Amino acid sequence: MFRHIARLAIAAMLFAAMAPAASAHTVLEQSWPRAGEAVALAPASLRLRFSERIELVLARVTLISARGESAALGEPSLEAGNRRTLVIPLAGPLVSGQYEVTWRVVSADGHPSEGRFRFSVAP
Amino acid sequence: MSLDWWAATLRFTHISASLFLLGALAFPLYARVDPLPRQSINALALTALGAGAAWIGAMALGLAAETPSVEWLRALLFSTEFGHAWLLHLGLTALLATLVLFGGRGILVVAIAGVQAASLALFGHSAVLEGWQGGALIAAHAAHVLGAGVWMGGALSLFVFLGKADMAAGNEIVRRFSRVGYAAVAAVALGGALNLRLVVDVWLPDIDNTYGALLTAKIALAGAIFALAAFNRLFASKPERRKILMRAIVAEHLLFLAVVLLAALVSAQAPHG
Repeated sequence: MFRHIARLAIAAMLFAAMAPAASAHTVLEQSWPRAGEAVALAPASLRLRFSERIELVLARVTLISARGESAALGEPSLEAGNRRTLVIPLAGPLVSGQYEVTWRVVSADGHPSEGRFRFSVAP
Repeated sequence: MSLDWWAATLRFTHISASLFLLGALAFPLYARVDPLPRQSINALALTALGAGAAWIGAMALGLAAETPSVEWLRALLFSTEFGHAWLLHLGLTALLATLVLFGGRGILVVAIAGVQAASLALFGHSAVLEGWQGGALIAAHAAHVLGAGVWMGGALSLFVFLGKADMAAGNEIVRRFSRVGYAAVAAVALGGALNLRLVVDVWLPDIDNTYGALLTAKIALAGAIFALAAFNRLFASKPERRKILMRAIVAEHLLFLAVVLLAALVSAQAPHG
């Protein structure tokens, strides 16, 4: 029995050494517009790429202007074939100024994450 | 007490009861004796069910961004990957509890108890990867949990049996338990090591963060259990040392409960946080 266990252990360790690891609870890896970016052209949508698969039905995103007004957002969706990227269409054009995006998502393993970032529209 | 602490306490209770139940149900299959009273098995099954339902309820409440509604709960349970896993796990726990309460025993009930315990791997950190790596992580976690259940639940039954058995019968059952114990210990160690490598990309955790510190404490306590098990096998399993063996089994169980408590706390932490 010990020989079988030892063989299994060696095979499993070799396999694990080659496999990639999970990184952490979900974090925002990239966004469009990027955090701190000043875009010349107002975006038609917000795109948020996370480090893990997320659950669309539990995703919440708000967009607030520097004057404290909420921008109207469309129904969020996931990028086709990619459960890590959330796409939120803007219901109308953004006027010049600074905006803050607040997001809250739950990853496919059931852990919640939240955060915020700012960008500005400066034609 | 915050919702996170409630969730950790309920998770600890649910996992402890589920694993003891699995091992206690499996013990008669290889030891060919069934020393645990029916009331004890029923109590483990009811505790696993009650704590499991409350734990999943606490986790659901913890995810609510606004006041929970029926619509939100339906979306949470039926439109998310982890919601499906919760429902499957809770359904298996309810099925197992029903079978046990009606006196069900034998290989089918043990198989259901095994699947119920293994389904813990379908949510939490072990469900984070995709593709074949995700499958490997779930398999490693399931092996870890199954090994722990068969080992510790079996040791509980062995303890009860040794308390009332004569010397010759006790020796034979210790021998049968030891054979299964080797495989169970290997599954715990191997599954745990693979889990660690796949979740945090290291073979030994970093103690600079809460997750790593809790995991290091868990591994240290697990190491103490392995050392006790080796002591039992090499020294305390001799017939004239029956009392020492029984005390060592109690110590193993106390350490095991501490390990499950740490596991319950680890699950709420970010792997690098």
